Amino acid sequence: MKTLKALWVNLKVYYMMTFRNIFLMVVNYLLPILCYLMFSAVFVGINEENKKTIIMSMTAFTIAMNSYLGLPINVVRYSAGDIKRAYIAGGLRLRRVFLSAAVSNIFHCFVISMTILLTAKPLFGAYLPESMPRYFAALFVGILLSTMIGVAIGMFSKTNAMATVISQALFQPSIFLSGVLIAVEYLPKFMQKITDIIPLKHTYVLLKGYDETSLIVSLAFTAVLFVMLIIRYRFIIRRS
Amino acid sequence: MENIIEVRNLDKSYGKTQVLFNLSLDVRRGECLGIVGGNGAGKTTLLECIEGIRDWQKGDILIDGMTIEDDSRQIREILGVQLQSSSLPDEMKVKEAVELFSAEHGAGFDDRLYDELDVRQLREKQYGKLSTGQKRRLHLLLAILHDPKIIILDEPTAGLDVNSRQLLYAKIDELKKEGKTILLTSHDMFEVENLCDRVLFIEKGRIGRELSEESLADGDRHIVAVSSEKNSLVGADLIYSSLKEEIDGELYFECGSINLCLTELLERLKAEDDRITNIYIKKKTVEEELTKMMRGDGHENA
Repeated sequence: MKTLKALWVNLKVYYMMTFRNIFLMVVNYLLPILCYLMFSAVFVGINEENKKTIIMSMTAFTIAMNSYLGLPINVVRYSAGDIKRAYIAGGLRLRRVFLSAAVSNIFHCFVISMTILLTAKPLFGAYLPESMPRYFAALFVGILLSTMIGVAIGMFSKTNAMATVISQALFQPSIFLSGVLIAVEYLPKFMQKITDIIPLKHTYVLLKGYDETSLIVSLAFTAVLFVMLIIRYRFIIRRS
Repeated sequence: MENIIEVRNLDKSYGKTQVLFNLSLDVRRGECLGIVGGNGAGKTTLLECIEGIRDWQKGDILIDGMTIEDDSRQIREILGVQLQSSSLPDEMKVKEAVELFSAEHGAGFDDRLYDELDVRQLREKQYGKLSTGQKRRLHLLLAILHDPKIIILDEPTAGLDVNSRQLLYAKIDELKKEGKTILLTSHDMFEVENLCDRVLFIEKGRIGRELSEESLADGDRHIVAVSSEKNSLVGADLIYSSLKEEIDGELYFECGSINLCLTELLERLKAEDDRITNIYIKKKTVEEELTKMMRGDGHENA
């Protein structure tokens, strides 16, 4: 009971803090929505065929934005510095904080994804996914994978600056090589090969429709990241 | 009185720089131990090793019979820590911090602590908007809200105004009366002298000197400065007085017991038919002891 209560309080406090942090509100909500509206208008305006994939591409884009750009900055302050020391000295378990950050991000991603799903058709004439259960399953896998990448960036960074650099280094290539903004077929051949190791690409593929390879790759990435995070967590809490 | 903290032969290095050298100390149950020393002496590093934040290369630390390696969670329950530099997320409200720390310890929160540390009016305020003094009081509250047996305070009043200090002193006094064991570091010697039962001096990673409970008590640590017509006290064979220095004809004696010291000096002067031209007595302070230690003047226990 004590553990559950502590976890619940962590989640509650962490979630409430997000809404008081202007930066996080901008990165988690304002920017993704603005980007979604702008890119959708442009892509649909350029080519009506984009209506078939606009929901999936914008969902993948905003999930990546939330997870790669916003989440690491929020995580890094607990993995290094005075806040981390205060938590450890005070007997608080950092894993609950990291878990709260991840759950909070999953929620933010879900809210934005639902916003896109509900507004894309009325606003841009977008085509809805053929199978909602499959779509939501793919959404869950994609959000989970992106969230773990975001937590990993935060946990492996020692400073905000480092987290920002790594975030950008992962976000920009992911966006351009995943097919979200530019179809993979239009990329040079050698770059098409590279896209196979971009997690966001597989998220996008899954959102568009079931693909066994992308599902296996996504789950494999998730499993590897999970192990990495456990190892990194042990390193963070060790006495130095 | 049994020991609640035992440190044995502690060596700690940061990379190639060793900062603690074979350091040993005991903290008795229920006492308030002050640890003083110059900047870089190793005070904070020592406390952080005891708090379980820092690792060390050699030695043992026992807290209430437990080791941090084997009994980390149990130790956290009996330990309350206020770090020298501590922080919380700026967006966290005071009441949320209290709720979080209480939930982690599984402790019910005694609402009266808000009033005792004068933070009730701050409950809805975000951490980033608190003043230094308010943050210190909050961190003390977070350190004690789970009613720990041992409280470690690293520079608890640094940067505080007079009112905030007085509030903290009152709370520390109250904790002492409750039988808590307190480990305290401070650069404020008045604070150390008046709060602590015993003081340890750390110099360059080693315990340099100890001021015992008896010698910290009123009337037991004095300097007597005497000048006389015949200067007959120079070279005198004295038992209760120790000549430390002579400045412009004035002799400075260090006294353990002021009564015995004065009696001895006056009897010696009378025996030599010498007359006092000037005499004054002042209480030796912890600050003077620390200054002396930092200058490298003697390392005996008082």
